[in-house]
Amino acid sequence: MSELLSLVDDEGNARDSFAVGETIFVSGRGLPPLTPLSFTLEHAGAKPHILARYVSDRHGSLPAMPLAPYVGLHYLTESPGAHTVDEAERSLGGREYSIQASASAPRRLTQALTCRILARDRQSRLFVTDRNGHLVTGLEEGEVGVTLRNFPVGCVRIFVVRRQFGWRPRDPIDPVRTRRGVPLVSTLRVESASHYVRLATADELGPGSYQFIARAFRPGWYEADELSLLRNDVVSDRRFSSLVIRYPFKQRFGDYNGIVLTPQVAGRPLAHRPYFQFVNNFPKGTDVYAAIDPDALPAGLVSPRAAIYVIQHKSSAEWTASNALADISGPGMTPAVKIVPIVPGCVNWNTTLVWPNPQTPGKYDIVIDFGNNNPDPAQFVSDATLDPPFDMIDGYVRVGFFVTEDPSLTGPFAGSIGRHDYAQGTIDVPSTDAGPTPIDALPLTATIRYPAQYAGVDAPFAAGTFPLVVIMHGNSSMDTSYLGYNYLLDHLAGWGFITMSIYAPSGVMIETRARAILAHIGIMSQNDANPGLFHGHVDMTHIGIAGHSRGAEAVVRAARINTAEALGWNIRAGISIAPTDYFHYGDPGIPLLVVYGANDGDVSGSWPNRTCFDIFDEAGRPRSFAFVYGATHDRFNTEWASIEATTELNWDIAPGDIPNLISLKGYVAAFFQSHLQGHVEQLEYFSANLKPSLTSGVRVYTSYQPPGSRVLDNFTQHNAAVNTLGGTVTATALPTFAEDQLRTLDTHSPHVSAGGNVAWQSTAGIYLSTVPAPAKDVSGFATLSFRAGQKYQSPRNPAAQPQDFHVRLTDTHGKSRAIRVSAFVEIPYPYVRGYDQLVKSAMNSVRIPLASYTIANLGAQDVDLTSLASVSFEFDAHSTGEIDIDDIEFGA
Amino acid sequence: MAIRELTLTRYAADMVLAPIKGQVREAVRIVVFGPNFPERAVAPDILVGEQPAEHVSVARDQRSIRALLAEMPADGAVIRVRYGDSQEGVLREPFRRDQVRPMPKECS
Repeated sequence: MSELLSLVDDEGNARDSFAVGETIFVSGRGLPPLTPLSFTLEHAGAKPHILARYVSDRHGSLPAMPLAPYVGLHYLTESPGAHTVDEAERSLGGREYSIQASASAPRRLTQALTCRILARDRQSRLFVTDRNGHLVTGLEEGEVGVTLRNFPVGCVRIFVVRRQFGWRPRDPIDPVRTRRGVPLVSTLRVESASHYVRLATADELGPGSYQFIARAFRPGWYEADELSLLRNDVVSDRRFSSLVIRYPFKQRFGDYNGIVLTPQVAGRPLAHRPYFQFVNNFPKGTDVYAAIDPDALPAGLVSPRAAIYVIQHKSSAEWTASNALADISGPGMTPAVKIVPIVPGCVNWNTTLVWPNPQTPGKYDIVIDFGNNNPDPAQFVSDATLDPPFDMIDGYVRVGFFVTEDPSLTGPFAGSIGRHDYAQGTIDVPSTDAGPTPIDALPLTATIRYPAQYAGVDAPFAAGTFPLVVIMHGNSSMDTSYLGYNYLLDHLAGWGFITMSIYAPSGVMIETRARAILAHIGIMSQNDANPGLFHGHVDMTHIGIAGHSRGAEAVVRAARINTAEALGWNIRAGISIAPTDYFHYGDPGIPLLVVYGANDGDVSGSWPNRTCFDIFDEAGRPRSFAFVYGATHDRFNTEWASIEATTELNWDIAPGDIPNLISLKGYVAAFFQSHLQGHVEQLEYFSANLKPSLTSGVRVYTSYQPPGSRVLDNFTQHNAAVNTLGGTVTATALPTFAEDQLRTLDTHSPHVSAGGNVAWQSTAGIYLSTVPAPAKDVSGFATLSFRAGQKYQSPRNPAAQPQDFHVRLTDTHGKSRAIRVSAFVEIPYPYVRGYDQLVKSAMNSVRIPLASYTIANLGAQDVDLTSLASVSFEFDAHSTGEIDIDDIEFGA
Repeated sequence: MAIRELTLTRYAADMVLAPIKGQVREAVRIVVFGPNFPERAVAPDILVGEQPAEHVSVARDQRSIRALLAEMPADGAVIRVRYGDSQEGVLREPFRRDQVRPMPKECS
């Protein structure tokens, strides 16, 4: 391993000397691929101890990863946190340290890395400290300040910003706002080499992860107030948080609360800000990285090391049986436990490769094991067990992350898609939706994609039979509307579907489009039965139908005609994309997915027939909903881009196609895979907030409601004090507690169904719904679910912030446990568009596994699910808020 | 002749220190506001009277555009923003020297 590894600073520059307070990283190239690498600190008079254990990626590279955060202040000092920078320079300046890098497999390699601590640093730097100059990395309360070192005499402007996982010149600076809405930008005159500045209190900032940027300038300098990072700006830490303001541990994880610490951990680096993104879906072969910045920590966590385990997701019963950890992140699912340096009190741990090149689809969790929690790094020992409250896991009851055959990526037939077009004369259809007459002629025109032996027009079919998907477009003046879904046809054909997009003339309404869907199914049935290209390849027992806009409403109508007229087509699922709802047909009687763009400028209005909520509200179970932030109405159809400016009425047209097309491909493929190809696990894209990987940059919020649920409250009693099961409902410290039609309660929630509205003005607010005697045994259900959305323009909802609260179950023996909603799903702030009246408060599903209330958890009570007394929402996470709510139920 | 009008609503100006033609010197910073200044392939220009501005940049929210003027424009100079020949807007309010904020002497 000759000179394959280098010590680098937080900008990636190779260095052999570091100033006190800097963080030392290591990176490498040309290493043996997928090889565990240990880094051990050796210096005179001290026992060698491990700094970190990482793994090279499949290309033999080691991305920059931390070895020693804040040298001399936390690391390479006998008294972490005890010294100021000046004191540390006096005691450590000029010393040299040796870091031994070694790998034992597949072959033995070693490399010595040396670094020297500078006796006197001349660079301008910025540290979060107390007034005495001692480093502060995490706190729950008190003063937040920074010490500026080595800044020239003159003006300095300090910006407080939320944490990014990297900083580069020209990155936008968005100063944090205090709870009162004041941007945290402080300007001062520096007169000395070390200058402390008080910036705020922890309470003013609020819980979160922060970094600090300092800019020296001359009075009047034109870039002094530039809100982007300048080349000479000083960033407190570029790769991890400088300061974590934590929730008080007892408030967040009190004796009666929650499961163990479950922060988000898994993710992937980004080449642009914020340079790391937490995701839960890793397509097979995608490196799994991890980073952590918990917003709550238990008292007493002192370990400067943690072991990182990637484990297979365990069920509640498996955790009850054993809390042992079995790492699978090595080649062939062998153990390859990582060790990372930790800053106690903060745990601001940098991006780390934890599982290179995973090849086995499944459900996994990442566990941070603090082992024996010894403050001496030389004494650190991993105990290979999950021990709350110190140890953390990103999964536990929920799934930490998935390795998948991702439906947003291309499928196995992507390179060999056949194409066939047909135009088969006309059929008579009603020309209006008013009745069977007058009639009109409907040309039967379609373009088809299918899995073939090679790519080409009328290329021979691949072996086998394939489910059929029929897509009907919406209304426009264009004869080519039906060609606007070729991207979707290709994508679905790649995953093994015969997919066709069919034509309807301009202006026709719903009945015509529905009849067209059914007519083309008939044609494909004949094609399958008769000799020819399709003969024996169309799986007529698994048919899916989809439509856009008026075509989406036609999906519902076609399914109902198929049933009402006993046509017998095996339509197994339907997808309505941005649907109209002129005729309120009702339940289509098939599993339905509704996709709606939050920026829809066409079907964008209000109740009763001009929003896309209706079709979902009127559907039976199971039903799914995907609300796509940024997506418009027209851009689901690529042919419509040229007319969008007129059809969207110039309302907030999204800047690109990505929210529409990318999101649609992934969710449509997952939905039809689950209902037409038997891949029931793909329903997790709707039921478990699993996101297609290519949509990770798009905000999509889903609802999923299975059949067979026990409804506790659907808010149709017209009496807020009684739930659907007849139990009493009470409110404590809730200024608003109402039940009515949702569109009445919230004009931005134009649903055709009833719901509830709850507002809270303090953390004492509680909504409690009792479970009456006949319904107390919910042990046969897997999930407690409800739908919730923030009420737009409520002064109680802070702008652009998600809402959160706890859901407590209490049994008849008085035992209870509260689970934090955000552990499972985000209740987002509504998508804000230029026209306020069109903003939608969309509700998404909160689905909490009932195992959350029974799984082993230190200090928490186990709830008896055979004898449930009540369900309560405790609004103690945020001091104010207002939500719409519906469908509190127990289900699959 | 621009084929589409660019809507301009108002402007603000202040004195700053800036690098102009390789030297740090006093300059006029002008910020023009409007509903939308798109980031396009064609870069925008600001002209005050006949003087083209330097260091032109569009704000992140695309609701303002700013630039530096090496010389103090004359009172009554017309303020224009244009994207090549395709979009141009003229501010109804002309440039006024007494509206230029002086350069700060302190850090604030």
